[in-house]
Amino acid sequence: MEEQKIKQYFLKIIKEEEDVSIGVAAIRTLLEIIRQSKSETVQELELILKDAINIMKNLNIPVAGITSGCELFLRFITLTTLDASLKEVRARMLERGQMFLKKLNESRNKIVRIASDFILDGSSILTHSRSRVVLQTLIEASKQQRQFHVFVTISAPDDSGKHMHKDLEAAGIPCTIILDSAIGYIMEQVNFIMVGAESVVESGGIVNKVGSYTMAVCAKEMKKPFYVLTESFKFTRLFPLNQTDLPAEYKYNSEKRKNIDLQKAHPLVDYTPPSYITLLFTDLGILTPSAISDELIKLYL
Amino acid sequence: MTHKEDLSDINKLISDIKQKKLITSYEIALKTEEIVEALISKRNWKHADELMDLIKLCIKFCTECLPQEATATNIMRHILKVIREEFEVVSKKKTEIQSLHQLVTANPNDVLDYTTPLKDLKMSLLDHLSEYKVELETSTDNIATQAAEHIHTNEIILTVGKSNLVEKFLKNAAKKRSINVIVLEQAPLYQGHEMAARLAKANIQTTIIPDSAVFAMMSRVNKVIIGTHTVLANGGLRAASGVHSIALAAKRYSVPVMVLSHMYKFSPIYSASHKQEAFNVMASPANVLPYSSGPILNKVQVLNPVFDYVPPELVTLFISHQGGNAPSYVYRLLSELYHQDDYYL
Amino acid sequence: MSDKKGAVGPDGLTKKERRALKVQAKQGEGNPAPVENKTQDNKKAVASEKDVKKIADTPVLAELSEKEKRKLEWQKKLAEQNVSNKEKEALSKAELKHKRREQQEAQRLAKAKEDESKKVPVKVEVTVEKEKSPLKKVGSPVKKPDIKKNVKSMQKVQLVQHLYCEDQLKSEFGELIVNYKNVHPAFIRLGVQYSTKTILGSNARCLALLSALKHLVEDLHTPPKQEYCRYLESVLQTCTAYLQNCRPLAVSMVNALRHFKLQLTHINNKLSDNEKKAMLIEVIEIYINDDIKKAGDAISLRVNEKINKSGDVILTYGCSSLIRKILLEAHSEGKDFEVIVADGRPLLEGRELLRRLVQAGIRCSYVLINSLSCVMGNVTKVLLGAHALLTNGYVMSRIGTAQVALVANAFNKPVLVCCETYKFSEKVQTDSFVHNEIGDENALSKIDTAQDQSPLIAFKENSKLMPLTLLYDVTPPDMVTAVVTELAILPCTSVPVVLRINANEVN
Repeated sequence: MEEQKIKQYFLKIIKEEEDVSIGVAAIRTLLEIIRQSKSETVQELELILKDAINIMKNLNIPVAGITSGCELFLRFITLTTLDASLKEVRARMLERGQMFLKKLNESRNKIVRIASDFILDGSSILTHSRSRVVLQTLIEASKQQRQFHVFVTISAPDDSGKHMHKDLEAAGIPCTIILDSAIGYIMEQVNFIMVGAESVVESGGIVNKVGSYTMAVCAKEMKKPFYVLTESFKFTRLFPLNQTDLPAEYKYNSEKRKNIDLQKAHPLVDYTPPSYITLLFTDLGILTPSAISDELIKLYL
Repeated sequence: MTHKEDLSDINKLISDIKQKKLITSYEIALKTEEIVEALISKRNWKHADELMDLIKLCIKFCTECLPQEATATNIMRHILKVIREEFEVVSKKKTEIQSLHQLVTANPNDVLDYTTPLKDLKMSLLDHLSEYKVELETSTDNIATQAAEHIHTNEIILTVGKSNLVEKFLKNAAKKRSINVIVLEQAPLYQGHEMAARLAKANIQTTIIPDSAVFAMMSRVNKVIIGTHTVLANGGLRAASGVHSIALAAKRYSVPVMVLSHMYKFSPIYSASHKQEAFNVMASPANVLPYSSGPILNKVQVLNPVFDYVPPELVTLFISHQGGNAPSYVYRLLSELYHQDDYYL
Repeated sequence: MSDKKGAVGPDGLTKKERRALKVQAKQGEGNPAPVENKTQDNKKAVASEKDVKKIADTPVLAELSEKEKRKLEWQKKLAEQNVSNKEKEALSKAELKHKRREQQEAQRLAKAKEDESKKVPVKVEVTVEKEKSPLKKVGSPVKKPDIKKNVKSMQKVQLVQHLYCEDQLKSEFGELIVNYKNVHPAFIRLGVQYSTKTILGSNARCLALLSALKHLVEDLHTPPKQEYCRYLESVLQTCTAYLQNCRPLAVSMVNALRHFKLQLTHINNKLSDNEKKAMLIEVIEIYINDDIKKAGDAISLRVNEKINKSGDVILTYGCSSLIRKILLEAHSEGKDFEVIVADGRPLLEGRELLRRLVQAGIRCSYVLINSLSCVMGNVTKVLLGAHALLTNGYVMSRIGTAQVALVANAFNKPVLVCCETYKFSEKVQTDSFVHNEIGDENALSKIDTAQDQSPLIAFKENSKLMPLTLLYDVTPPDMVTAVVTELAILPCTSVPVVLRINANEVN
């Protein structure tokens, strides 16, 4: 598949299916590539996939989700290579790919089920920017006839908080939009915080829309629980030591990276260390931040 | 199998707990283990799935009647895991626990079919269970023997109320070192009085103080050693009322808080509530304000909560018969005790 | 806790004494146990001082007479040492002398009659007995049970040894026996009220003191050739010493007395006795009105601004007269709030506050201090009273207050401490042990809500079991959001500023 087609396919999924997260879109693209590929060897296939990943990273889309999802997918694929003919291998890959995708699609439902139990009647929740998992969880909780109030941050620069606000209003959940700078002000009125994550790193911390770190520090100071809702395919083998240690490709769009002096650019994401996170809700169950590295170790070692 | 017949044993267990015939968690644990053993050996079950369903039913029943009492359900959950393990051993097949790795490497045909009848399963189960019983019985002594590692000479230890485990632990330590113990009397049940009397009889220098003196005394205390009712899945505790403020004072003065706990107190429950009231049980207010107070009793609301939630940041160490663990490691202990699928029943 | 010079170890002996005992023990002499010797008559306490000197002299004499013996022993030892360890040859002269001294002391002891051998342990006992000697001279029949009790308290809780009132004589019934000669009857009554804890609370105690003081001023007739003010001062001295013996003076009382004494020195000597009396009574009245009553009103006004019209849930601890006043006034203004009264053993003062609030029709809840973590989630404000405010910003208050502040902080609830400026003290304290008061040790065994008797009732028979009740604790300033005084709402750290201002005003 040529570069142009890859880009088209990928962007099409993202634009048309709002519900699908970027990682899953990337994985579907890769699966499509395997299906359409005419390569003769497994190695060539792998190279093509790696190229495709790089192409996808160079579009103006946050990279965090793409990286982790594709890494996991590749690992998945490479674990199945047998000494068989390419046709069989490809068939096998597609089969496993579909299974993987199916599991991923179910993962969100699992999370919604366990997380909605934590939303009690009469609670006030603070959330940041737009996360599909959090949205689904809130909708599920309100379907169970629970009364609660949600505060959403506007979340500059793309104002995705407004989008979240619209969706919540549409679902009939009482919702207030607040300035990013009003997080400290509102913190004493909320009961807990729920955010999504673009990526979960090896230390047990998360990489999420910029402003999450501020929210987490504020929450810790005011002794409010900070919950993260994320699917397990977002776990990645990264260990940032601080904000500057986070790779540039995560923080800035590909265009920005080429053009502007990075010191003056606004980052897209920030890193929240595990000490500020109370619990992570994943499709593997409810985990404490220390359990994350356990999972990653089991996977890669 | 009628449902009535199934649950009569469990019924008796629940009523014994409610009527306080079984008081300590140790007694409850042993009784539960006996009941399950009887279930396995005497009932007619054809395959592992049937047996597991039966036990799951018992667990659901217990959780509904006694939501705060975790010991019985934990033991039953552990036995479920034992059944699964034995099944694997006997059928010589392996299954993997849910993890990222499993996500990635799993075969669709990997799920174990527990409905295949196996002849040796019953025998191996009963064997395993008798080992488990011995483990339960020796658990207290195992924990107590670790005392000398943690307590040094002339240390001042703070403890709350009455706990058989802590008592044995301290007595064990006192055999080799000279220690000072400060016991909090723990209103409104005042169990600390009995604990102090027992420790003093064992020739340990004991001081008993009222609950309000914790912050004042904490600056001189070297270690806080307490027992607990349940250990929650995030490493937090459901302990006796008052333990939270003790843990806060200990944190302020950087005094280590060590929690002694049997393995069956580790529960896969998370505390969803940010409000303590939903998590708590209220006992009789007569222990707080006596009936002799007169007519004001009509106009005053008296609260007497039994439990307290202690967040994991305030606990330094969990000591079980396997040794010491940090609160962040509790999730691992849980995965060894119970199977993932049995967490939420 | 203890200074280096007389460093007392866990067995209550100084290093010197321990070494002396060790020396005796080494020689395996059956020295009579120190406890028995305590029952010996006190005259030896004085005489023993001389004996100590004697002991120091005897070694010299013994040395000269036993020179031959020692020489042989010394040579024997040298031979042994040469065979065994080369290092031992390097014994310095001082060490040899020390060894020699040890040996002949042991020998002397072995030879000495019973009297002599007992003198050495008495030397040990001098330090212990010195503190008790003034009391023992009072009367012998009281001695034996007294000594047992004092001995027991000596062995008691090491942490607070320095707080035990060794001067307090208690009869077999546990009542305080204090010498009340030359004390005005109003003060005698006051002393009894204090020691039996009939009057509790710093404001109440201070007011009671000032009213007794008024009586004293009125009733005092100056003897001939003495000046009224000087005479008053000396009588006051006796009275306050008596009060101190009954129960250590509260900070509020100390400050009030200091103010009074200061005014006393400023009185014009040329006035007649009656005029002086009138002036002094006026001084006392002004102090009561301004510094106590009006201050209370001002504080109440300020705190009432902070209490919302409706929906507030206020937590308070123990029984503070100021807090009671504030809550009653807020209620009478028509504000709708709820009060949670937290209480602590063994005094259980909260019940008194509860009664008063319920009488006024305020919605109340009552909990013990262990339930704080459970109720704190609903609380909007915490109001606490204070016994005194220390110069380094610490709040000294009823024991348990620090814990309430700690839990309130953990739940992010604001903590307001209400304290009049007359309770500000120049003392500095960082923990609750340095200065404190020990309460009644029998109080813990009395439980009014339990059916069975507490196993603590028999604590006196077991020397290993000791109940301990402290009366006060100190709350660090970072746990307090604000201190409300009649001057302003201050941060906790501004106490020295206020003290400085007050001192300037007086000057």
